[in-house]
Amino acid sequence: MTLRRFSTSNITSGTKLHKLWDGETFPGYFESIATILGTGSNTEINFTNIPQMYSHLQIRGYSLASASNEDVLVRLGNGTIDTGSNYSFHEMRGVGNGGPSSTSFSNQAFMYAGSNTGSTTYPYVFIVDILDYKNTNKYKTIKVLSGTDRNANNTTGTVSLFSGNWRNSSAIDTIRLYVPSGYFNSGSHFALYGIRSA
Amino acid sequence: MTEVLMKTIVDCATGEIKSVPLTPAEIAQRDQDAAAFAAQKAAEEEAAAAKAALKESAKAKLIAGEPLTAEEAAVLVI
Repeated sequence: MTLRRFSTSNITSGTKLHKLWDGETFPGYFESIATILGTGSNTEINFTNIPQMYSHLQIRGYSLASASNEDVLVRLGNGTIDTGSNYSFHEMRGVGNGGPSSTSFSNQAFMYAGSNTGSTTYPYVFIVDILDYKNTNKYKTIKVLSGTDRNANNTTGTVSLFSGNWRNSSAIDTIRLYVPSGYFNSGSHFALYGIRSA
Repeated sequence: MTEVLMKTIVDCATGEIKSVPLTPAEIAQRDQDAAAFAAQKAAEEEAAAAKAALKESAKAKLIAGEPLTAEEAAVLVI
């Protein structure tokens, strides 16, 4: 049996992040790092001090925001969140029964993570992949797949594919998801995962 | 009653989660972000509307057997 690290916190309280390894169980490749819930008043979700032990990161979210057509935006950072116009993105959306449309924007202060229906019962779901997040030799690229449906054939169903770029070669240790107005309703759920290389 | 805008922060190293009110500087940044986002959204919608109009125009001309402009042809050819 091999001891990896001891917990220094109380056995009945405190955060238990230190692990005991039995020397046999194989660690997973896809691990939960943290999860944050919507509270009905929070406008920002911030993941800070992200461990640098993974190859890639993934955020899985479902958002119930207070306003319709209120997109969920994402910013990245190292130490602090970059609020400058150092992002760009490309999107392809299909809304209702209409054909897909695509646009791209440079020098933006955010990237897209998803959208919202303004509903407390129909979430907008999204998966954000942040690849090679700790590589300091290149800018960071993300890919987002998101969508929603409300059983209304031609108006409120949406599927979107986004790519985004943060023109910074720093390792990412901070991520912010936010809505530019309104807030995340209770029931919203945002989970950050780390993916190890094989 | 004034709505208190909050942010939720999780320290992934410790697992600690806290919700704190936005500071005046962060609220100012949020207002600035909202304006920037609205401008970007308007530009996006304007571009989408222009493209849709071009497609409709091209479709009508095709049905009527009229020649298309280069822009109209471009939106039809994938």
